[in-house]
Amino acid sequence: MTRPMIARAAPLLLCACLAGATAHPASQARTGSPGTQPAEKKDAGGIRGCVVAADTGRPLREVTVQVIATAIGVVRSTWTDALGCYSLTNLQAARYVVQASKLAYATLQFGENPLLGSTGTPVQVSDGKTVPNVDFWLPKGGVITGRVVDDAGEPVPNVLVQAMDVVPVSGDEQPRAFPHAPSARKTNDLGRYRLFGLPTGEYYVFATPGSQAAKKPAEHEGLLSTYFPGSRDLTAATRLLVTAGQELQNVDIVLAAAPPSRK
Amino acid sequence: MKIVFMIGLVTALSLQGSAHSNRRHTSSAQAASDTARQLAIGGAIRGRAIEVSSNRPMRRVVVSCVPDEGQTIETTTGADGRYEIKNLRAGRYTLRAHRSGYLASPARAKTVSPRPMPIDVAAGGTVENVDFKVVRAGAISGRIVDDFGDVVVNARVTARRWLFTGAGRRLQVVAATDTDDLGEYRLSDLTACSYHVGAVHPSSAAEAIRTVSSYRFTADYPVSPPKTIGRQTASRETHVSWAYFPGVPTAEQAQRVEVREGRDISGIDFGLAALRGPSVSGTVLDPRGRPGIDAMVTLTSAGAEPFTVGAMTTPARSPDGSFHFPWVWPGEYVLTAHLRVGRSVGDAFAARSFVVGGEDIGNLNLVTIGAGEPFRGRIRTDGEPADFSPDRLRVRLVSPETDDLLDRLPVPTSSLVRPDWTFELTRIQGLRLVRVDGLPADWAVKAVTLGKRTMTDALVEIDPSAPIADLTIILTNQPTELSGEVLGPDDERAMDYAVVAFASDRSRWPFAPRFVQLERPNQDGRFRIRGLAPGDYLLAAVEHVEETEWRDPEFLARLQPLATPVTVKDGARASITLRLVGEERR
Repeated sequence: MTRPMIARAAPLLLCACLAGATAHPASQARTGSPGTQPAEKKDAGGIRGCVVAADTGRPLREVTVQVIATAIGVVRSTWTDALGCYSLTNLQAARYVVQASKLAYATLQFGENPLLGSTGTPVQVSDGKTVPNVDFWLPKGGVITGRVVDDAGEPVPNVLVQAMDVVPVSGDEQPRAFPHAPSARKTNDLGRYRLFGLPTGEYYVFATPGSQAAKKPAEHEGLLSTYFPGSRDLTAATRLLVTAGQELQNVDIVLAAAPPSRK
Repeated sequence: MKIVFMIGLVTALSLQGSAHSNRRHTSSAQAASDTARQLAIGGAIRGRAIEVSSNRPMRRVVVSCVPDEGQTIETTTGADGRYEIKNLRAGRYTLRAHRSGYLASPARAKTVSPRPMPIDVAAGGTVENVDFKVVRAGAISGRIVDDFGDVVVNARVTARRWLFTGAGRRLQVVAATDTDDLGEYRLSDLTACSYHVGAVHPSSAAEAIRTVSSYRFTADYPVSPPKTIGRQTASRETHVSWAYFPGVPTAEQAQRVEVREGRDISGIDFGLAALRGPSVSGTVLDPRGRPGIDAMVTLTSAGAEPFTVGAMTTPARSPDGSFHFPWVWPGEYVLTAHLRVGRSVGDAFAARSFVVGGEDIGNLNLVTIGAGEPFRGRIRTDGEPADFSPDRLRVRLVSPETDDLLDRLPVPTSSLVRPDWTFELTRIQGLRLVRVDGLPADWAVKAVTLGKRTMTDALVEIDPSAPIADLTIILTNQPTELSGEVLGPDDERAMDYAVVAFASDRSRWPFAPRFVQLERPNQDGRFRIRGLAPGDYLLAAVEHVEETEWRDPEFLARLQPLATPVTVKDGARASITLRLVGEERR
């Protein structure tokens, strides 16, 4: 019984530092769905809690809550209801990592605080007990916005822009970067882009003209893939620190132009 | 409707002899023609792109040049707005210009018109000043919220407009985008028109449909839900949410958003509502008409919400071969069934398309056809041997009710032509029109025969139990041709107009291009309409036609009293002068 109590301290801390003093969501869980727990098997436990948006303090609906107990190979998931609350029952006794995720929001483990650098705390489920108050204050994911222009300063639409994860290197190795998959977006007709839902971390921003996704690659003729702010080479690119809940604006990229050839 | 067609009679000033009796090709002429084909490649087209509001040259405009035969050539305008397309053979070329966020039309067009004008290049000749005027396109932006007022991220937002196809008037998706983390969207590259804006909740689109299993209504789908999800599905509310601006369930009810060139229409905000979509159900039958059990049935959206949902007809759940999709969004769909006949899956196949409105659709029967009964035919000419290779041709069996819908799916509706000029198609059923794609510009289909019957413009009934083996397509190198010019109100030659040629018999109107064609003038103001089937026609020269309006029977009916009657005779070429008199706005 001591473990859940320890685990509870983390969301309270998050509550204080991210959203200020508002009512603890767990109270809503109790008033919102009293007695909704189905009859449980004697040997099974459960986890329940609520999720609140860190920026607005409002309950977050349709958050995917996943519980993972690698030791016994159990993965279960559910979603928060209209009051932002969830409940998982019939869980075998084990230590569970509880994780909340929602589109455009940071994915957090229970007890994890990206601002404080604290990592997640597993939740111990014992036979016949439901662990309450496994709550989350979810910040929005990081956002990078800007414009892509060509060598003449004109906006370029339909350019694929991606946040690239930085791969740690050692010694003389060249730095490398891989696309952070869900972040890819194309520039609109005004050359603007907006990457969102980024986990806290360091990124390069990479613009790819004439990508396969572009319908009319010929409109990008003579334009080359470029890292922010305007480099073909990763070593000359600017690395951006993105924090969940933050928005980096004016990350404008000047596309490199190929040397003139034909005509 | 902004612009209506011409008033006043379109007058036939001259209708020259229709019989063009001398044969165009002798065998020596044939050889000369071959030589001409190979040698006359010194032609060129040059021009500029000008941005209208600033009257300055525009760079980075993609100019694509589609020849009557062969590959599309693309180039891009330079910093001076100029482009050049070289090494062209003599012939007719269709030029389009494109730049994202803009609309480009031929400079001589009076309005912004997406329909290009043809350019005729003489052997070794250069056509200068094929210029384009470029204007900023329209855009629609707004914000999407759900029924709780929360922003919807990654909602798919679409703009639809009425377009006409051979299958009728349809609200078709012309632009699509996704909302960002603020729920905001921007639909761009829009031509001036009124649009119906709709949005679909991403969980509806991505999860509910692509993986039906994650939803509560899964139980209604005859598929087994993945075990990992189990009973938790029940704890989630079903969010099958969509809406059209300003918050109505069907596109027809939507408030239209008027867009003009260069205008950004913002504030098109609306909320999605959880709705129950109409259901789709039917039965799969095997090639012998018995219940199709163990068939894989897939339902694929033909619209901008790309998704496929599948179901199996299992002996336990549907011994009668029936299937049921409890809900879909209103829109166009293609339904296919693969049936296990022998040991392998997909031995028998069926596909059909349909449009779902607000009502449930039931009794969709899919009679599958085995692969063993091909539809066979061959191609021959009416005289001269063909001066091209058969491998450039495709024989298509067009379903008049579904138009081009099936073409978007990997469903076999066309066949390559073999070196011996035969073709073979399997797994086709129903009433079809026979069409040939890939013909050189100076060749056309003269007739299609089935045994002794002429089926050129008739629907061939393809019944898998009575396979057809004797379909013959006869080609001619003397297609019919109507050409001429159009005089404006002051008897000057009009340079910007559209000529609509349509059969006097309105039952033929769905069948373009054999019975209905729209042509615009070349750089000299002359029009040329090739390949109409012989028969009685009406011709009208109008100043402006909405993109696909000329396929609308109502539009043609309104043109009818204003049009000039012309008889097109087999293999004949005729020249005609039409009159264009002003324009009336109603």
